[in-house]
Amino acid sequence: MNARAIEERLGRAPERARSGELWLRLRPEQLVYIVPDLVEGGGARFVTEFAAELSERFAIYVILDVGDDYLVLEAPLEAERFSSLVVRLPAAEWPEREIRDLFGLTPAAHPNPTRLVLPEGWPEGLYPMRKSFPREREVELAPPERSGPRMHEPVEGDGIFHMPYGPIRSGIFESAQFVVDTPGEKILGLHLNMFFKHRGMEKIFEGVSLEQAPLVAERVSGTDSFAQSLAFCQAVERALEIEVPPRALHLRIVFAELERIYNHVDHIAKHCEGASLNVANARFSILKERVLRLNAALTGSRYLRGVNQVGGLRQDLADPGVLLDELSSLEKDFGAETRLLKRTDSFLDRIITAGPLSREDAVAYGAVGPIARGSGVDLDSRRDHPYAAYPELAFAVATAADGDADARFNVRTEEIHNAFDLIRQAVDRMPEGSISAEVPVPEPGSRALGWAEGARGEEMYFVRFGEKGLLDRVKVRTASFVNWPLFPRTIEGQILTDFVFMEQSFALSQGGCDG
Amino acid sequence: MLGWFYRGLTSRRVTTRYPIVPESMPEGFRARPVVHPERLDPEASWEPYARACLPGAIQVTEEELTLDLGRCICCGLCAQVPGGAFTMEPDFELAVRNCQDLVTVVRRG
Repeated sequence: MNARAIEERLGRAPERARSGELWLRLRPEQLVYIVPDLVEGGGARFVTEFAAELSERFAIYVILDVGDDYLVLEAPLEAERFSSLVVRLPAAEWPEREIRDLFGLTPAAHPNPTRLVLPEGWPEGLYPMRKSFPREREVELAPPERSGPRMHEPVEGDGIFHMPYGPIRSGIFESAQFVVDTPGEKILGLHLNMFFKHRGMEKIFEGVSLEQAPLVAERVSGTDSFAQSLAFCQAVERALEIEVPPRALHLRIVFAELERIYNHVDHIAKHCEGASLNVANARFSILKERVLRLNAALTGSRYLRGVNQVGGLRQDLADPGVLLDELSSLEKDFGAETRLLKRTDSFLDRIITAGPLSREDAVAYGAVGPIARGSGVDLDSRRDHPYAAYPELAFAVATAADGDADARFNVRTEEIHNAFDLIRQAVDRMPEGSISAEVPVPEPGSRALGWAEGARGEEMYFVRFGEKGLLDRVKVRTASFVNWPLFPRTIEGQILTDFVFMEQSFALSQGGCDG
Repeated sequence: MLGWFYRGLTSRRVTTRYPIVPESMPEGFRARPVVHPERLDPEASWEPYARACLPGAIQVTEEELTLDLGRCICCGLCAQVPGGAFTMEPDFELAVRNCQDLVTVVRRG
């Protein structure tokens, strides 16, 4: 769907804010029929829905992926309520509950208008994202009133019990609670309780200088640091019309793909651990460690933090020789380990058919990243909404049709191979020159989207500048936040024994989800 | 399975002898911010160092500058402040027994 097709559908032309980004202002009551119509009839993908406090009033925003562009629908509100989209768009469930919690705007006719991100015991009527709530304010939590885990519409019946797993679990899992409805082994229902460590990252951005704000973005999700700071920096660069030097655009590919490699390799190592393949686990973990050390040697940070800045990069690549040598050695070793793994029956038996996600569910919930691509949804913002130097590089988007853990494993191994190739292309074509551009003083009211395809999928940022050119609103929509609600759908009807494979094959970030 | 068995047998050891044999980090690895008191201009304000620090690891009052490694996120922005009183060093062995030992205080004069 292009701008013209949208105009034909709606009778009004969206305004082109800049390349890849269309805007349209609507009345709030129009959202309820226009958004589902664009999604169901026009094939648009629901990206997210969020709120912002403008001077004197609130506004609801919906971001849609309409093919070549992202379309932002803006609806200023007259009252502190808006009509829910959930009945026709299940993907809007979490975003609307988040708006309710943080801004105190009521999603009318939402089927499950309960608390999502705020902790139990948080006082009613206190909305932390409102401007009237100071950033430094500390809130005393009341002791929780009821006991037992939170469940929405649990499966009941003779012999069915509800087994809470988490939030404190073995190993270094992050805090999430899964409540399983089960008669013993088969999983009949799964309830996700997340947001135990909601840090209010979006609030932290407000008022932070542009020099420091990328450091905040990096901490949204530690293992996606580069993708987060890239998406954020690109949003600011687009809002302020900064032209990033070509050398920086190429360097960003190098680091973004290194991040993809170490994340995907780590995911394979965890799968091997789940299958008790200790040697394979150790060998893939060694490969991951080698990538982290390469990151440290290139940038001074194992997780590529403090590398991006608004306008480009803080550090140049001193000697590409070190990178290329280690890269070809890593690629050779990774190929050898993967070939053996793909012939190991005790591994394949565990992942084939585990955690199936249908293409219909992936589309309905707006899945992104390897999870979407493993269910046959051909979607990759590096190709569909190109940024940095991606338009100049040749790469294929890996997809698989089966939707199970094996399909996602295959997508990730192929993406690792593609990433090696992308880094070499970027280094080969890397122009000389500066690596950072001047940053002008932001105009109040300027705003833009920015995105990056991280290891877990599309990371989407919206930034808006307020008075004095300070960051007034930053919306962070991570791939993990979109993909988590799909997890219960892959697990119902499966067996508890395979839980670990299903969770690992999603490979999501809890920090990124909690925000 | 046999493939992994052989691969395991033929692997060399990757575990190092740290801490008996020290482990060196690459040049430019940002692990420890170090304040050099002699480079702090006694006549000028030290405020820019505190302003550069997002997590508030560097605090400045009229009399003194405090660096708390417990709050540092190793971003290295302090090392870019003109004046150069801070450098980032690759020494990653930051652990201490008492958290007060993470704090460095520099007084004026």
